[in-house]
Amino acid sequence: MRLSQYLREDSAAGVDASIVAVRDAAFGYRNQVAVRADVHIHSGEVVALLGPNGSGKTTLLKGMLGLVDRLAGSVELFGQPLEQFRDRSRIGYVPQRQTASGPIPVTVQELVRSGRLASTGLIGRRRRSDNDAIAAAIGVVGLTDLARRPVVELSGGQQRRALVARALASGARVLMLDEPMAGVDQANQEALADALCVLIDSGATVVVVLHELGPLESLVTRTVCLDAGSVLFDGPLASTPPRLLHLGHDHDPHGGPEADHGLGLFKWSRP
Amino acid sequence: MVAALNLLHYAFMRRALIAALLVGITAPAVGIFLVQRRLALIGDGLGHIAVTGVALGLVLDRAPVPIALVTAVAGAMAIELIRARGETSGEIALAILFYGGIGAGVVLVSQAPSGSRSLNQYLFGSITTTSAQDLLIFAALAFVVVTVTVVFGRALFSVSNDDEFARASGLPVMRLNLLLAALSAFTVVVSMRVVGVLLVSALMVIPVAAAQLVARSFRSTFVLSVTIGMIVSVAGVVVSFYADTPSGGTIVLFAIAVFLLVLTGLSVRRALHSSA
Repeated sequence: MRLSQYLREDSAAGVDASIVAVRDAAFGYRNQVAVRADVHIHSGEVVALLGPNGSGKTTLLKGMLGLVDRLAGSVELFGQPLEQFRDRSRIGYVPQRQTASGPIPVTVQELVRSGRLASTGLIGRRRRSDNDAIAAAIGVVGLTDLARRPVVELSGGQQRRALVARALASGARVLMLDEPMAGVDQANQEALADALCVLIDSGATVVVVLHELGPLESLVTRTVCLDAGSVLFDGPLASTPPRLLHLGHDHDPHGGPEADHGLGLFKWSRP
Repeated sequence: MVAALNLLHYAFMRRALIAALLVGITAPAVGIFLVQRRLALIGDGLGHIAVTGVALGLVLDRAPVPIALVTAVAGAMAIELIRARGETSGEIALAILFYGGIGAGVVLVSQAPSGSRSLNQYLFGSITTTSAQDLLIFAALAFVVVTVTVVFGRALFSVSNDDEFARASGLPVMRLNLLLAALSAFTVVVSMRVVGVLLVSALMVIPVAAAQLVARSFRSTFVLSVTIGMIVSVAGVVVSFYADTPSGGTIVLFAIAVFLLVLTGLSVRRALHSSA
């Protein structure tokens, strides 16, 4: 089963079409600016957001999706203002997570199925094509044999691949990934890179937050390097100053303050 | 089984057993989403708020159940809106709401003609006093809870499992959270005659906690926790009739016994596996 047949035909997003346009924007939390940026991403690009811990790369990615407060400027997705953009199934988001589920066991299939809601709607009937798209998304990340296994029984790297499959289940041709390689062993990093390679070959646009390029180096076409909430460099990978490629080496892959904004009330854990 | 069948000769026990079944189904069906959201004890807070509604009903000499329903739904909406603001002071606001609810209830009921004795029936459950009108309201609410849970189950799962991803997917997260809050309020009201508003949270959480120890998927946890909920509710009512114990406490102790039984069974199995 090939994933490409379930990927959306993005006729509106032709070659060099604008996918994300961040114009003189400031993003942050509760009126505190965490990052300022002016970044434009076009169809087919593979953009790495690089920088040390606290540089604002995760906040910038979330700002593109409207997941953090925008304190200045504007954001457009597919040429439409963010607040008017409705067709979210065109974008697959992979958050930074150490675990992919809560206290209740959730199978890989159930997790990935939740990603299908963006295209089926809240109460859409389950069709055969949905099951096929879910199976294809699981297949492209190489987890077919583990589809019925509870996510908590998988390794950290396998859980990250399951999150990528969830993002793909809607048929999105644009993937936004937040630290997909953090805390992931070498074999799973390579499996993830292989999956992304398949998607990029089929024309997908990828925006990925990384603390170092690692196995994705051969796939990345452009870097946006950040430090202390500002963009220091934005251009082709080949022109990126080497010192900026290694700014993130002091990064804590298990997440800093950006990783948890919950209220923390009524915490309950599996006995 | 024979004992349970004998109970069916009494009209009040038939109503009691139907009410118990409704609670056994609805409490875990809503509770599973709360547990996944790590908000397992929100039902407890809603129960506290519902006390004000019950007390108002007693003071005004009106049926307490519909008034408690309005109070619990309003409280649920307020809780969700406070949580959505996500400020640290939100915790204090929630505490004020919860304990304000029970405080106002106790003060109000002191002015009621029937006094605090009537309030106890709602705090800890008094299933044999379930009226036909109560049962109609419970059945209607349970129907709404089950229907909404089935129709919006996948969306509620998505929001409960990862609300950030759900927001990125374009799901109406705030509206779904308000829906879940309203379902929780409905469940509190359905449960008030059976386990009481102060024990309702136990039936929302403990059957789910027992089920997730052995289940391997969200769907099987859902089915198993509803099954456990129904069994402990009916068994609790039957035993409370013969042992002359309060239904709410008996049901909750049954649920805890099931949880401990499953936990012990798993520990024994693990020990046998490791020694083999």
